Amino acid sequence: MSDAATGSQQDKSVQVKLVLLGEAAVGKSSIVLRFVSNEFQANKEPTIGAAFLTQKCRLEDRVLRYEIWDTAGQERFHSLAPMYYRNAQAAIVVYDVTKAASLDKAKSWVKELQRQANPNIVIALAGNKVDLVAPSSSSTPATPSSETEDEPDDATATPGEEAEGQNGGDTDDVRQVPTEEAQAYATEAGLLFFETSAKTGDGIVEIFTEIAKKIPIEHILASSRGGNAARAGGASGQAQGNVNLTENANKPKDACNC
Amino acid sequence: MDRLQSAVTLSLRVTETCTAAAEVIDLGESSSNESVRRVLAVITHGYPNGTDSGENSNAEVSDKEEGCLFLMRYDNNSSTELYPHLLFPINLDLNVSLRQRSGGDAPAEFEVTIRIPKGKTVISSREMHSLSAVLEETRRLKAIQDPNSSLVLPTSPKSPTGPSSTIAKSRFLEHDPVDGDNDEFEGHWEWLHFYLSRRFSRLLSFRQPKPRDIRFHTKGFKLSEASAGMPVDEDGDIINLRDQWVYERLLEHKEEYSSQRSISLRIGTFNVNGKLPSQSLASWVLGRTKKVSLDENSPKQPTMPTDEKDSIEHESHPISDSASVVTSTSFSKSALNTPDAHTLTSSFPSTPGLLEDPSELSDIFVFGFQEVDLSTEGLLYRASSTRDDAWTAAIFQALGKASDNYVKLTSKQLAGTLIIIIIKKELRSLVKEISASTAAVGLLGFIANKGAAAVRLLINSTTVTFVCSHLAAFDEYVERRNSDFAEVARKLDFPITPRGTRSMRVLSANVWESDMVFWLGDLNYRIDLPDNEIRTMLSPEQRELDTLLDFDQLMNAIRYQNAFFGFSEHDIDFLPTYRFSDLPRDNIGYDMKRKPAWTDRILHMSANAKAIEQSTYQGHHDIDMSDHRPVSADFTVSIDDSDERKYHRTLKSIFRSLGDFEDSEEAPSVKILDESEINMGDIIYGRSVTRNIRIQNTGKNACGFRFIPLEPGEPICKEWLNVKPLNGLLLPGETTSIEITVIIDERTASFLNHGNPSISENLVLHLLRGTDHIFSLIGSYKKTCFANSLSRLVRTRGPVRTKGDEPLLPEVNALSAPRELMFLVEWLMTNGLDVPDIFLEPGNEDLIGIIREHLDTQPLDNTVTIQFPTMASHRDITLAFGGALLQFLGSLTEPVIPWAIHSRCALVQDREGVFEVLDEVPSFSRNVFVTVTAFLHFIAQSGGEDTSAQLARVFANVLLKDNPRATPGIPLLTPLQKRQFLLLTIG
Repeated sequence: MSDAATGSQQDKSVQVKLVLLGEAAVGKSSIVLRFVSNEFQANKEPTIGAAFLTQKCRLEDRVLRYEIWDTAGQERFHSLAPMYYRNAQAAIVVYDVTKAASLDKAKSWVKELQRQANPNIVIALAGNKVDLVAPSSSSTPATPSSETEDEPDDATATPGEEAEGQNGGDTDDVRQVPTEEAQAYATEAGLLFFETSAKTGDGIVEIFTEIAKKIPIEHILASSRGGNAARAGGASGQAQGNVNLTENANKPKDACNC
Repeated sequence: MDRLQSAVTLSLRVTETCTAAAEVIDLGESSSNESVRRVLAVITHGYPNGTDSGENSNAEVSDKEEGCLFLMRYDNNSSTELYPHLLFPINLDLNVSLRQRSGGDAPAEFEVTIRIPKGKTVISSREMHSLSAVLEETRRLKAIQDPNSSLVLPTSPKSPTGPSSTIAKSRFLEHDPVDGDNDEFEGHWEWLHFYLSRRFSRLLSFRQPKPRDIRFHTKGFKLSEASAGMPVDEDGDIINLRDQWVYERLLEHKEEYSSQRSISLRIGTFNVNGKLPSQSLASWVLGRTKKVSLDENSPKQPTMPTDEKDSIEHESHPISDSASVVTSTSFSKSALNTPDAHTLTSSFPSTPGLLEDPSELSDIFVFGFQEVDLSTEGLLYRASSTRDDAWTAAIFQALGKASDNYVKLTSKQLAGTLIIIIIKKELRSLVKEISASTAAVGLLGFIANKGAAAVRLLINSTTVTFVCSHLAAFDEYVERRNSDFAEVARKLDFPITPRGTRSMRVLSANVWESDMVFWLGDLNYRIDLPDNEIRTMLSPEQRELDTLLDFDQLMNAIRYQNAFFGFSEHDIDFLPTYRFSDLPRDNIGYDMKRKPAWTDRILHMSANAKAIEQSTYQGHHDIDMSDHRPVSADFTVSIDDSDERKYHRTLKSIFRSLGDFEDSEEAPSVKILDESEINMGDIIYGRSVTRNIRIQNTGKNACGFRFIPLEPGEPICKEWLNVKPLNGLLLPGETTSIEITVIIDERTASFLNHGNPSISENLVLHLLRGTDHIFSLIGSYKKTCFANSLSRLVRTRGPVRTKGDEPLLPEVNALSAPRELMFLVEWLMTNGLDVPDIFLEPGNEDLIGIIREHLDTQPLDNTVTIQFPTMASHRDITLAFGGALLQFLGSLTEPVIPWAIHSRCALVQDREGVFEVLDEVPSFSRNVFVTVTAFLHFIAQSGGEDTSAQLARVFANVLLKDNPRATPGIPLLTPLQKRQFLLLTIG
């Protein structure tokens, strides 16, 4: 690893290691797939262990390169998580808005991250599958089958069924986690918060953009010049300015090469 | 007598002589469409008056001379041994015609038709000169048979006066050659009867004046390429099987006819870069480990050796005379008589600290030098003995006090290449014969700047050949070195006298016709790695000689059988001995302009592996007068002393037990004592299964057997099957057991994993001159995730063993990474973090086997726990999991980082570069790589300082394994590049 190679080029991209955590079948892989390839795939196979992808985007004059570690949600892979979130600069903790228990799991991930991971890690909370619930205050139920992930191992219930069976309190839709509740928790825990739909693309680019803004880029650059890009840490200046994703969310992946 | 004639003569009795011989191609051979190399020779019987040299055989003969054309075949296993194939007595029935074959370019090809009343044989040859000698001789001998004389060939057949022509395949059984020379060769052509029996070769093989080709023992011997129902050369096979069998029996009964003694032998090689001795050679000559003498303050001027020349040449070995006549330059004058050598050696002080207790020094010293003379004159003209004398004197001086006990036995020089042999005086009488040879292979194939000087010694009954060679230089000239080696081996030609014969004939032996061969010198092989990498690996903090030796060109030449095949070399644990210079140099002292290399080497080969034991192999870096450092090795060799009469008695009794083996007309009969269906049961990766089948000879005669392929040209059996022995000889009533072993390694598993798991193979056992028996072998292969491919594992629907044969998952539904890998990493992450030396210590193979079985058969969802033996500790199990992960990854048919992008990996400078490369690989490869390196990173963080470097070293050859089918040379990705690549993610 040579200093010259990393340090001399001003527009050398900044590497950001980002890990996705959350209960099985909440849509982690779908969020990544939407972000990286702008695709959606129904009935995805569960992730085994972790999947790894990269995506570049531009933040002002800087190129930001996400190393995305999409972990398996299945409980039996929990022990692997530390090796993925170690040294991560960012995490997206995902829950399913149609499944209240998935928020509890998300909260425990947040706790674990805040305890074990890099102290400066930027954490975003994502309530996924909003396409299944009525937009905002609407009471029209969405098609329940729209974004189900088939995880035969331990995804014990498909969100749709569960939602229809148990819910229907304040609204007719399948939403089990009100936006306000999640937002309140996120604010309290110091997290970025978004509701997303990997199926429609809602909120996906935004979440990565906001994370990018919050990342201490200068610090990462400094530490990568120092010889170890993997170990970013320590609080330093925040990056200001707007993240400007080079690719539009609707463009294919190729467009984002910078 | 030329070389070919002397080769032919070796297979004759002393009563016959070869007067002309030519290399020919047998066109009459119908069994195969390949051309068959033969030798057409004129053999005469009866002693010509005067000399027995072929050229003068026109001289008057006392008896009527009889001649015969021998068409001789080469032994399958030797390029020099010849056996009579067809015999054509030269009488008036014989008609030989010659014509030039039309068509084709130069050189001209001649076709010879040999006609006898019963038929004809056609051969061809381009050897016009020797061919015309053969025809000339034939004409002369035919003229002798003709009462009217002076007829010129070709002629129409006259009325026969000699016996009817005979072809060698008819059988004559009257003579038992083992019972010794029959002297009753009277009457016309009776002397031929001997050669017409197959058994005649009994005498040839075991009464030769020189040992069998040593490569026989290292390569094994070849039988003809027969296949089921299609024998090719049963007669030749019978002779070969018999010879092998007899050799084995002779070895078994060795004590009956010979005694052994051990001799200590010290060998050194030194490229002196044109210098004359200018510093003490003591550490090299004596070895470093010897104890220090008491009187170290009285340096003693060593007594110069008295030369052995006179005694050698006047001993009753006429061959020594011829040797010095033929190859000359060697046996030097006494060093004492050479004033400048004397001055040179006394111009530096000896090393008193190394003066020796003589009894601890080696019995024989062999020192090879290269570049003793770099002058142009040295290359072109016969070398003077000045250099020889100077180095001899320096050696004796290094011997110190002990030098009194030694004499120079011999030396031989070819331009800059010099070999000097020194022996303890009291052992001088053990050396029965000395001959020497040189081979120049430099520029234009004959300039002596590269080549070899060699000495062949007969010590008691053991022939030991020492070759000191200097091969082609420069990194990229590997092939040149390989061909230099072959050329030297081909050119070396030692004149010898057949012992125990009354003959005065001079024969020659090649380098392989020895019991032991030691090959030393500046072989000039280099290291196939980039310059900076070699220096890094050599640096004191790294010192990874083993890694460098993986890329040593000589070791790879041996491994790929490109040169030095069959030679052994002791492990190297000394630093490269090349190249040192004043400036500029690196901080270890190596010349910056040349890659350091182990150019100077000492190899050996032995007919009997147990006869050589090597105790040291070292470089002498304290001797710094040259740009090379000298190398030395100590051996203990076992020397035989055979009693000729006892030997023949043993041989005779061995042959007697064979009965009428070679010439029997009776069909062999063998009983298979076990069922001919062999059930190997479950065949599991990495675990060998063995079954035995016993066969019994139920016939009256000895019987040869061999396994042959079902189809011509195919191998005898699949590569994962091992049959032992593949051939043999059974005496009447004897039973032998044939061991059939299945071993499934990485390579074979990789295709068995994809095929039908029920295995069914046929083995064909052929009885020579008899029937074929077919054994069918069945078994059930247990598929495994080891030696599999990532692309397949991520699309398999469950455990490989149970779901492996189901259709693969569609590509879009492929898993992100193989379950098996995730299971291993997950287990280690959960349970294995408390074993700090995980991956650095090997795991127990049995425990790894249990884990592999679990991976292959279980759903891996933690519903089933693995049952380990109770005595296995947590540490044992953890190391086994580590071992299983390494083996799983290392056995993949293509490594996690595919070969196609290895050259790109070499350019990666930083972590970002790693991920750019990862974008190129399939997602499952990327996921596996990232998972494994993330885990390694995790444990490296909690480990000691150099943990990541150690892990990178272990995983470099697993995640970035080289393509085993790649051609030798600098690899796409060098060891350091691999480690750097991994460290970018682990570190």
